[in-house]
Amino acid sequence: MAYLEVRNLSKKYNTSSDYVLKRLNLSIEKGEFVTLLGKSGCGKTTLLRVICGFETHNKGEIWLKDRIISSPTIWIPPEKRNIGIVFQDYALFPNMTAWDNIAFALGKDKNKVSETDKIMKIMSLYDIRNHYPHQLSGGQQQRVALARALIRKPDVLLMDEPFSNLDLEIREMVRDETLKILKDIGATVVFVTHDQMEALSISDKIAILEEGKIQQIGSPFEIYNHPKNMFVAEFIGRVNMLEGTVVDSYALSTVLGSVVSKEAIPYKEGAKIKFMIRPEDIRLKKDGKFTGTVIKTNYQGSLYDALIAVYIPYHEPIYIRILAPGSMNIKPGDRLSFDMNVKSKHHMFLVN
Amino acid sequence: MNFLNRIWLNIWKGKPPSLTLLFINLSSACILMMPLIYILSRAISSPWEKWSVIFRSRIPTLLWDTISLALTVALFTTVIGVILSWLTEYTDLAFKRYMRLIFTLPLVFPPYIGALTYIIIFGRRGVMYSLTGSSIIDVFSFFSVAFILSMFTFPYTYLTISGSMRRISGNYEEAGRSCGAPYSTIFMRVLLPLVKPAILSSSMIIIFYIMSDFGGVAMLRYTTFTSSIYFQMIGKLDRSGAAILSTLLIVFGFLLLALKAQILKKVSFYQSPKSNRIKNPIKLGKLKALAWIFILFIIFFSLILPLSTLTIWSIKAIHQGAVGIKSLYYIKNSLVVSIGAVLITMTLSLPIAYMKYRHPAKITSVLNNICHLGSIVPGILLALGIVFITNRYLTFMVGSQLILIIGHSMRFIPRNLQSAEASMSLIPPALDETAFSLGKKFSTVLYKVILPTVSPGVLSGGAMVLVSSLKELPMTLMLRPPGYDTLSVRLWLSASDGFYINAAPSGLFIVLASIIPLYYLVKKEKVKENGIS
Repeated sequence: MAYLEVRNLSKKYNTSSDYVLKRLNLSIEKGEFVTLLGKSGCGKTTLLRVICGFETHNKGEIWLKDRIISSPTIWIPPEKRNIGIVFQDYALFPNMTAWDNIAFALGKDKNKVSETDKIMKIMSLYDIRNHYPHQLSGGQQQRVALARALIRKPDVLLMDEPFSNLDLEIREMVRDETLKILKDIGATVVFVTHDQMEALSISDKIAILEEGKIQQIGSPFEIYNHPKNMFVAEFIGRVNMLEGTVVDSYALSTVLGSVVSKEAIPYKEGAKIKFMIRPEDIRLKKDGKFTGTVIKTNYQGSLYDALIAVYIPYHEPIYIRILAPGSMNIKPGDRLSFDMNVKSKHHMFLVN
Repeated sequence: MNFLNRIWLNIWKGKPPSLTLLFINLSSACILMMPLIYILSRAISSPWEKWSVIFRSRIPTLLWDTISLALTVALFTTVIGVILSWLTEYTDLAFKRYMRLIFTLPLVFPPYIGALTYIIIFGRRGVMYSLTGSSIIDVFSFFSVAFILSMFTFPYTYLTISGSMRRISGNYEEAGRSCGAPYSTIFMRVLLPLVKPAILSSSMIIIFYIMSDFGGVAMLRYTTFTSSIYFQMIGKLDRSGAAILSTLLIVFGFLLLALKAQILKKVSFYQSPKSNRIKNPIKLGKLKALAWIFILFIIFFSLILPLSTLTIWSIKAIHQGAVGIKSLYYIKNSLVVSIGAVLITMTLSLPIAYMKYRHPAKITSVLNNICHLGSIVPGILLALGIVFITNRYLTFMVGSQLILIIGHSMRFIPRNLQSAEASMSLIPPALDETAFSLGKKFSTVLYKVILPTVSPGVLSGGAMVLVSSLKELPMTLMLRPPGYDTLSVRLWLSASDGFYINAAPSGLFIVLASIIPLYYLVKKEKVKENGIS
């Protein structure tokens, strides 16, 4: 059995008629860094709070290290679960110094002083140990909150958008430092975010949450390249979604003309499908098969993020997002030719 | 001339007030200062022996009696306030919304009326005595006095502490639990420290209240500074003695204010709850019965007992024909004074509030603070000062109702100012600036543009003044023309003579009238809660 396992979890708030979480399953191995990614309101924070024990749930059970910590009949209180949490606003106790905040988690431990000093030194907080939360920078507050959550050596560490309150400039730095600390001690982490780039860059596994269910769980590579369904495909990264009909096992017909697939199409001839092509998979070529007009460009130095329109007689124009090298000098109104292929069988979805 | 102009503009930061406005503010402040200055000068000019006699014979016991009572009541009310706040803010107690309202209701009883009901029940020849042959408790003992005063003042601590608890983010509690701490630890080490500023400031409110209250304390035959000043003046006709005691009370008050500022500086925290999550209520479980016993105990002794006593005795009074044409006469006397005070304070509060927000300068805030003196200076001191001044310089006014009305206005103008200033602060300067740019005169702007917009605030302030003035006791006793009985005076005199049945109807009338300002208080708390103002 997995280290932390959520089985068939359903949760409904008393005030609403809909379930926030619907028969949700999730398993996490020891030492894994799993990110829950989803839009706001998809239930990710609720899931975190149920795991922590701040909310009860209606059905299903949660297992940690081979024992049930939460089910409709069993409920171990949060303080007995040994699950650490870092809140979005850190929730540092304003009446305690940085040192007291961290030491608070140790209770009446004999080695309280030495342990607290040790972790503060490791996380370069020792110099600010006597400061109150309001005297700390955002990054320092975040590290104090992390130290407070880690000092009890929790079985699982939960983090609820812990970087979202930081300025962009320092966010990446704090994130790298945090990750390094977590990797060094081999912590098992469940991380919640709505920022896909953050999720892609830091996670061992990403779980995409939507409508109270996990849509897909897998490595960032799998999620990005092999989305399981259309929701995941459209949710992660930028995509062009186009409609087509299967002609044979390698060709699709679309309003733009025929598009070729690199892998065999897993659907029958004549099936209506939607397929995705990422901007970076569209190759600009002088004698490309398709031609469009540049509508707008977003110059980023090393490349252009551009939108082009392909005009077709008696049809609405088709808009396609492309990436072009920054050295190319393109501007709205230019005409560009390009080729596009469907890269993988995972990029095609049946339309019902 | 240029040079003087520049200084003048500098004082007002480039926005000098019109001379009329300045004159109104200056003269109001001067009049309000006068009684205090006169008391001080009277005390200073007293012979040295007088001081030393008072210091030796009176001060030690007086200081001890006042401080011990104030601290005991502060302790009682804090414990009650914390428990009730915790129950209504953190637990799954039933009817929480109604409880919040009920716990503020005891404010409708001025302590002297509350004290009256306790004397009726537990007094030497009270109901308990006639029923059981014993009074059960001694209503005039130290702990009874502290208990009775606590029953009618705890809403102040409850309102402050529960408001503070409501603003504490639920995240702190959850963070504590995820650190493995049991609830008791979180309560003692996180929640209590966070409400400590509220506890301290509400204790200060209580301490000031007890120090300046006259009626409740005097009715229960306890001696604090205020009651001993009164008896020094009225009983012994010893003016310099009263002035010296008053001066000491003022000094004592200022020391306390300074102490409060120091303490609050040390214990205040910066909370930054970005997400104020709604707290999951704590299940009371087995404690539920205990909680309800406590709540019912408090409700019984602070509401049910006093209200039913007043009602029953008022009915008795009607049966015995003690309520008649005379009662209307008392009501009329009360209303003449109250309405007079309302008119004066409403007229003055507008220019004073306007000055505060449109011509902010050091001098403005000094004048404004002086206008608020009535809210911290015990009524008995103001009354004493006014007696001194009228007897010395304004003998033609002695024994007229006018002096009573002026006294009440001086004492209660802060109540009007509070709400007038609150509405004034919401008016954008562009409003009157536009009017000025259209060439309107200052008085036109003030009464045609500003008044209509702040009138709700001024009127609700007027309602507060009306009721405060109806309840007022010590000043009315000292300033009234001979034989001019108001409701509160009648109540006091009847009670002093032991005619409780005659006292009850006046009490009931005042209590019913007091529901008006309570309504505004509760509404203000609600507004604060929603963060509108």
